[in-house]
Amino acid sequence: MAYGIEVFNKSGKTLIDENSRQLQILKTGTMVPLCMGSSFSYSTNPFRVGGTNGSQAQGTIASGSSSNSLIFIRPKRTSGSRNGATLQVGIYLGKCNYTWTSTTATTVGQNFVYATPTVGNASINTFSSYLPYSFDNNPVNTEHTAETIGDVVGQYGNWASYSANSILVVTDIEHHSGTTYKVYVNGTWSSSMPANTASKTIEKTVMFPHSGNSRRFDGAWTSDSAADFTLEYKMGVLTNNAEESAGYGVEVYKSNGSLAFSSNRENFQIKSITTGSPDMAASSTLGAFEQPSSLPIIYNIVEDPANFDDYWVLVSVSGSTAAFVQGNGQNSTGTNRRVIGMTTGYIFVYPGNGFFDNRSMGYVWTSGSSQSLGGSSNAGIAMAPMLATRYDSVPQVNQSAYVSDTWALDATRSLAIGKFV
Amino acid sequence: MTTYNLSTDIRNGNDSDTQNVGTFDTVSISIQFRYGITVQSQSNIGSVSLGTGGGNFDSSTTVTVEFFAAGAYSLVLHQSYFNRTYTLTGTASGTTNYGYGLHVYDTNQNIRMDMSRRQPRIVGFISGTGNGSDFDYPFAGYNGSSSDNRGDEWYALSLEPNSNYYVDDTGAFGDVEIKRADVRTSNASFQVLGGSEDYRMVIIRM
Repeated sequence: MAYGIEVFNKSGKTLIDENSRQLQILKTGTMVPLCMGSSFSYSTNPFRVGGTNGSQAQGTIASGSSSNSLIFIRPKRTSGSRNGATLQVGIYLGKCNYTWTSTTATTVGQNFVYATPTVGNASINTFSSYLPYSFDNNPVNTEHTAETIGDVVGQYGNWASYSANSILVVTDIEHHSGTTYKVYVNGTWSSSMPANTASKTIEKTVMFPHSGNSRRFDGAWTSDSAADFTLEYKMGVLTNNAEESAGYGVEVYKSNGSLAFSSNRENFQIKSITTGSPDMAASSTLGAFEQPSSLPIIYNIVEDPANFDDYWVLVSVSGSTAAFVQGNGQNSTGTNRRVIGMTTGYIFVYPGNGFFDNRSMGYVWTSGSSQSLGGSSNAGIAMAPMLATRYDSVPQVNQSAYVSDTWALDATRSLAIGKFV
Repeated sequence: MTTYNLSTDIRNGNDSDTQNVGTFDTVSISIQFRYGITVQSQSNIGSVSLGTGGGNFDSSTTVTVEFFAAGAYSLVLHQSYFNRTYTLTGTASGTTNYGYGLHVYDTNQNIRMDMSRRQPRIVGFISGTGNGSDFDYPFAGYNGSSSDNRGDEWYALSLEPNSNYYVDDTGAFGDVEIKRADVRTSNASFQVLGGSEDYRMVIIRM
């Protein structure tokens, strides 16, 4: 190692080194995970909540550049008892366009511009027009001071046409007045950029959380259940900015001057990483899934159940992980002619339940038993398959024949949980 | 720096031990239990590691206890199944054991780093579009080297939604091993479902 410091503990494990980078949390907030399925019928969609289109899953923009952003989630108790709560959450990631438009001409030599943001509708690539989803395409919880930090607003054109930098990146954003923001970039203006100049269109990632059991997330799910939880999220990027001015603690830099470690940053203290195969697997039967004695699951029982509210998950699985079109007669044990979209999501189990409740992950397969936590005072987090959407019809695409088609990843995945310290 | 080895079985009843120690001593407890144990309470304890094990009707693990300051100490381990406990008490003597190596605090006195916790570090990202097959992505330092094997410190977590690619780390040095898992069957040449050929992974070291 030529630069910085490398610290080992007495077990010989490295604690800090000069080649790592620091996480900078840009955005925090809460959302209610809602329905992603196409049907509002409870019999065909157990994620049914409320009863109106307002119950569709909503999305929020993931802050920072999509290439290096990270998302962390946890349930957040708002009222009621946490005892025995089991909360299931899956994540879909979509896209939306984001554009800044200058409101006044820039001044040569300065490194900022006053601008207003425009956010386009969100979309999700389901990789199949036959796999129906339903969601609200207007992003919510938008924080314009955070969303585009690190994003490119000009690349050999657009705003970069007025800077010596061929690639112009947003470094900071401050609210100015009304819908106008002060957007800082990584270079000064070499010529004055006129008002009403649009930035390069930024493609943003949009996070759609959806729930496998909205009963604890949404009081409208049943008349006798209050909404006890929301889903809290943190979104961050890896940055090279030291930004701290406390003059206290330790900072370690890479040889190129980038920050590798700072004690003044809020760090994600990973408590465990569990690796396994939590996806729904394909059956050898056309259009069908494997029917195991218990649904696949990987999990971690936390060491500190008394403070289970402090645990976060780094989102490392999202979107569709399996899908099954079960044509007539192709599945002797399930409902004929149905389309099933599966995802792999997270289960948070508070003390008092004792089971991960993965047995009936969407009422598609209800055999076997749920995974035990080993005691009702234990708490844990799991990764397991979840039904995302179900539709009781099958496309006829081949001379009136109903198609049976299976797509399953059955991937090895890692569940990373920890606390922010 | 003495290690005291104790053993206990709380599968069918409570148990307790008393062990006087020095602040730099270690107590190693071999414990048998049902399904799982947690730390119910602790006082004047430096650190407790529950080891690995659990999940079965008959489980066992080795709990490692380190100490902090002179004076009385106590530790209670709890088995949820039939509400069993193991209680360790005693008196520690000697100078305060602040731990090992460097401790770093922020301005609010929150500890940001100490030697008893492995500090996770996010090293970077890899991303791209696969070619339809398994492949290795070169990443300098990944899993260490043959002369300095750090395979238990490095992880790669998939982030791309709907991706057909995932990490299958077999410990290769300098490579993230990526597999493609597009398991598909169909009764027609017209396939109505598909996955993404893009991949994006975060590299973590802890």
